[in-house]
Amino acid sequence: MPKFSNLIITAGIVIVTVAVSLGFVSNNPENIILGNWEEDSWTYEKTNEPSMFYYDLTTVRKHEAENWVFGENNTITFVKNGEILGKGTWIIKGRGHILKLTHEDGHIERYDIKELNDNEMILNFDIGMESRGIAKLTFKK
Amino acid sequence: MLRNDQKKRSTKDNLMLAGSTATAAGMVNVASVVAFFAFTSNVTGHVAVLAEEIVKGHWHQVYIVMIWLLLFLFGAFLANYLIYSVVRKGTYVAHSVPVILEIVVLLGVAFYGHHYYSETLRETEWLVGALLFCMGLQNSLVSTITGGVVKTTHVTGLFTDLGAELSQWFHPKTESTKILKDRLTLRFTILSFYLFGGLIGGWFFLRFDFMVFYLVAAVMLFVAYYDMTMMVTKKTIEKIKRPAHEIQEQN
Repeated sequence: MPKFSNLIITAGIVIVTVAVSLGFVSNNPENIILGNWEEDSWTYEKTNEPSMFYYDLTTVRKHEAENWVFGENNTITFVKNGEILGKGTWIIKGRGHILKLTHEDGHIERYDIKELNDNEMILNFDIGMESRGIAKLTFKK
Repeated sequence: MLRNDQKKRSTKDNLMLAGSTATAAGMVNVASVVAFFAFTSNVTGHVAVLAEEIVKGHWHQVYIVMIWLLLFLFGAFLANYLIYSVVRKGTYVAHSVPVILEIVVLLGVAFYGHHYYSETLRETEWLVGALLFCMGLQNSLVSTITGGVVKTTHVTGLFTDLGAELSQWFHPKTESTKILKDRLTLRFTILSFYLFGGLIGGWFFLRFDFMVFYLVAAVMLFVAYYDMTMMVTKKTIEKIKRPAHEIQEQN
């Protein structure tokens, strides 16, 4: 029995050490996202034929060939061909997997962060179609 | 609800404890999904997410999910540990300690969330962690008190048990006993109150934001205070029923 207790305690110490170490080593998504991101592509993951959707796509604010500039004070600027299209604020939620953008006019967009590293950001915009398709935005830094 | 240990518990005791704690769990879970985009009353999804994030190499998320799982585990550990540490002072006191601890953490979440929360990721992560700790504490408390009969923070196991017991109830070759009927009543109670808690949790959060956690704390306070009111009422009734000469002799 003491052997089993030792095994549990050792496993516990190892797990806590790994978790704490990861906390020191890993970079917070709020830091990684800062900077200028250039939109590389906008695609629909499950079909390339938007007319198949039942969802009214005119209600979706489509960002194509834009640059998104994430500022330190949670501000975001939408830029296209050097011209500022609009401004807003950004927040990351959950375990760092949800990006919430609030435009100046109060319009809110929510994205699932599928990938976020120093070079690439992939966002999935769930436009309420569930199995019918998800808009995917890919950015390069 | 809290004064009897698992050997002395009646079906009514278990039903009341199950209903009130399932309401609290449903409220916490839905409010946290709306506020933080994270579930806080169950950890099955977090374990699956942990594996997914490891495969993807998202180390910050791995760290956070590990901390969340450890906090739920620590809550469960602490509840049981506290009960057995304080049991010498009476069953009611032993069972009340984890409830009071849960109330304190819930009040902290409500106060911080309402007055100071500025929606940074760090705050979100720690508030979710605090709520997972609360739910670990609550689930372990309820499970320990009822001898594993009741678990109120998640419904996966509940649906499994419910399916099996419904099958047993309707099967022509099995007997529909009172024990089985009590178990089915218990499962339906937990399910209904969890759903009810989820509905009012979501509704209140959308209108009063983090103040909803004060309401959850109030539900748990009811759990802790109920037996005390029962005992006080019982003693008062006994006192009233005593003949006048006995009271005079005592005085």
